Amino acid sequence: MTRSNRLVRYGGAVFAFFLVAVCARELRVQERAPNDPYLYSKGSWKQGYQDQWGHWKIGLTPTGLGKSAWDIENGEKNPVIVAVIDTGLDYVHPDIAKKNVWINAKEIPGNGVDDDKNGFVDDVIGWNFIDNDNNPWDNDGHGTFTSGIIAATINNKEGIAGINRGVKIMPIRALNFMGRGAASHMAKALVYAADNGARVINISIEQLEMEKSKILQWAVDYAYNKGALIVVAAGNQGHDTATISPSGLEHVITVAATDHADKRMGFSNWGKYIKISAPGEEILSLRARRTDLLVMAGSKEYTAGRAIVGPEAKYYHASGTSFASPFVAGVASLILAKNPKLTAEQVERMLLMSADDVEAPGWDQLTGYGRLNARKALEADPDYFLYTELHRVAPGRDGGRTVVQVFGTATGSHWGDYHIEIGQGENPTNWRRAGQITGGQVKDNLLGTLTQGDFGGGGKWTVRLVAQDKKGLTRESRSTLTLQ
Amino acid sequence: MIWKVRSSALAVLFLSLLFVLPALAGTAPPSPQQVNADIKAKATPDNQGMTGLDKDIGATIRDLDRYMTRALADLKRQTQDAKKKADDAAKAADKAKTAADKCKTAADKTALDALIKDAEKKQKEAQDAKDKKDKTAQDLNNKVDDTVKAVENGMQEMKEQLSKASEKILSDAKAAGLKPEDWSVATPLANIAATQQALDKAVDKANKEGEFKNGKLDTTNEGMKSKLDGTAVKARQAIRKETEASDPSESLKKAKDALDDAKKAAENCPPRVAAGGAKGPAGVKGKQVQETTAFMNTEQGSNVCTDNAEDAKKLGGDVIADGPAGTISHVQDSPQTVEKRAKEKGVKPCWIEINFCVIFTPLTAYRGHDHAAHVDSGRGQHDHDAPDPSWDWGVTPPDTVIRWEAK
Repeated sequence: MTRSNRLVRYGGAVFAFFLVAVCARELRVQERAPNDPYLYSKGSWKQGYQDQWGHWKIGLTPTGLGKSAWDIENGEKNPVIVAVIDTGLDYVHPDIAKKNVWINAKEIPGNGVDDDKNGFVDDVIGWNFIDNDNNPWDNDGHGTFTSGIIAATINNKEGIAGINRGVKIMPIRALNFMGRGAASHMAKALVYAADNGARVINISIEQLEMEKSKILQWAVDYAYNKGALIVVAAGNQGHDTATISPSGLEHVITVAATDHADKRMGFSNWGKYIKISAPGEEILSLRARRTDLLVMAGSKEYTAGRAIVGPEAKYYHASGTSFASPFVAGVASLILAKNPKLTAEQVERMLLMSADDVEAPGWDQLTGYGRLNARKALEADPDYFLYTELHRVAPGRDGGRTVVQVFGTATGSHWGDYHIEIGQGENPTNWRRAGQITGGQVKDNLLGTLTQGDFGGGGKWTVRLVAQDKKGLTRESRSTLTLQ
Repeated sequence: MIWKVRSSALAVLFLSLLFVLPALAGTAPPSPQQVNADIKAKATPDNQGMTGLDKDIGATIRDLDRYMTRALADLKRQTQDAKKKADDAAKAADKAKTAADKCKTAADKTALDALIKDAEKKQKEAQDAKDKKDKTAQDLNNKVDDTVKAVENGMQEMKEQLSKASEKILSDAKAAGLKPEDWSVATPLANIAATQQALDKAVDKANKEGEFKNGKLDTTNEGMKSKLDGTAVKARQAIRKETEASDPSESLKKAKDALDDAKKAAENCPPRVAAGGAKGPAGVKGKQVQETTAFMNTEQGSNVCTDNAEDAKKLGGDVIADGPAGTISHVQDSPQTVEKRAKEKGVKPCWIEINFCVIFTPLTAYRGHDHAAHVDSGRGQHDHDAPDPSWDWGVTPPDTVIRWEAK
């Protein structure tokens, strides 16, 4: 073979290879999965980022490249029941598949008999506690929006992608057409969800009172003891969640909202109850038929229809911690789909310990352990945790002198120890160990005390809690204070 | 009412269809052609079809519109009355508070007591007026819901009756010995199927929301049920607008706070502290977070925890659930009444609390704001055109400031 022949022959081969590569790439683009158009579009309401930016941010990206959380688990093999306690569901929305709505198989529809003897007649897909009937239809839009984030049909070439392809949404209506309800409705809804097999319960609702709701705590404990993971929105007042229910209750995962730059949204409530954060800015989800929830919300600046997206008005965009919470609930359901035997406590560990640290280093009261990361959560060790939370520093008395008391949590599965450090300024580069620690594992209690001598001067200081376990892993949490 | 009439019309259709069946049950069954002829003479999808559906819903919409026009005027009057009374109560309470702050002598105390009494009376009147208008608003909302439900139930009933009639004809025809091959498009079942198709078509037409053209919803071909839904949404918005246009809640809150302050100050009226000493506490409360938009507590009363369901029932409770931590129930009465009843019945509740009005995350303009207009939304202090929301927007946790005490 002459040199020129070889060149022609090899050149042809290279060209053919190039053609195949290009075609393969084209095919990949055409066959991108999932194929829901809004997952790939941007600027549908003139925003400068992707329409479903939240999915991309937490790792729900196109499959087949080995990087998506959906490559690990898409939820189809083991359908998980997720109860959404809200304003109901538009269960005939074209982007909610029938297979993604919970069906009570023990109930014979429409026979007027409580076949499964659960106290509710003909509760085929859930219950409406406002009208006390079996039709949890959504007249407001909030419930359909939150449900859509979790359960919108994936890979149907239409609209948005939800999070879990096999999820069974159990719509429970506890709020009326204006999004109002009572604590008793909520309690009934929680009990219903737990009694009927919900593994995850999403509550994007809050009660603004000066005291925590006892009945809600009772109902949360009831569901928790039955094995349900309860995910709640932090709330939208920019306040401490301490007096708000259910975000300030025990046995819930309280979710704050972050924006597309991983900053806490200004309205997102804060405090020691914040466990994790998730996208809550301009989220795109389903619009329930004949609803415009922002009109009903009473915002004087909102003009009707402005948040509706798409030529058929089937979608809607809105911001709030209400919409951050379903991201966490959805990913929790994926974790349970991957391993149904996990307990709620294990799922919580996986979610918190795998979150991407945003805002202040370590746990902070704005975003908790960080922003949700679906892929890392699915791969996390269910038995590992190292909780390190500096909740607050406050003046106290010790033997007649004023001291600075440090409160928080330091506990872990492979527990080692913890210590307290201080540094000058808001972002210290030099730290030194200080104070007297309580020692052992501490849960939401006094971690230690610092005296005036520990600081050596006034001004701005940062206190840092550092915990270390036997695996050699450390976590930290910080709080700043001004000394005068 | 109209939906009962509609159902009756359908009943005529089904009865007429079933009328021919006794003949099928005889010893010599008539020919399918004869059966069909009988049915055609009595009822066809055309003469008893669903052409009246739109007309009926249209009448319902007109009825609802007429009802709402009158009712909204009444609600407006009640709301304005409640607001006026609440404002009067706030003024009276403020007067009492000012008098309490200035109280120095026994004569001042006598005058103060009268002012407090007057303020209490006005507060009660204002509260009654507010309760009345809240109830009216709730009744109106129920009326809207009931109207929509009646239509939906009516449509559902029509479908169910058709289905039942179909099953009945099939079973009777089989019982009468008609063979499947005798069934043709001209048989009773086919007539039912045609009626069913006509109904489905009519329902689809009624439900049609309109068509999106050039980014806008063109409602030229909007179905009547969809129009009814739209009317219901507008009615609810109108109720809300009327209710909140002159919302007395804030004035009532002011009245309550001022009256509480006045009463607290009255305890030290005239001042018991020696001359030259500090005056008693005015009892001014700090600003508290409050929900300003919630106006409808749909289920009032109390929630109670008792040791068991039996105790809950003794208190008149509707049991919600039993668990290791006791039984929780909802009672229609206030916590004070429940507490009193518990003492009378010898029941020791673990706790009693008011049935708080739960609201979902309060919606602000920022929930669905125009992003182009608010590029810095959600980050710290937020520049925004007035009016600002009532909540402290973009609040971050307060800085901890610690002052060392002098040794």
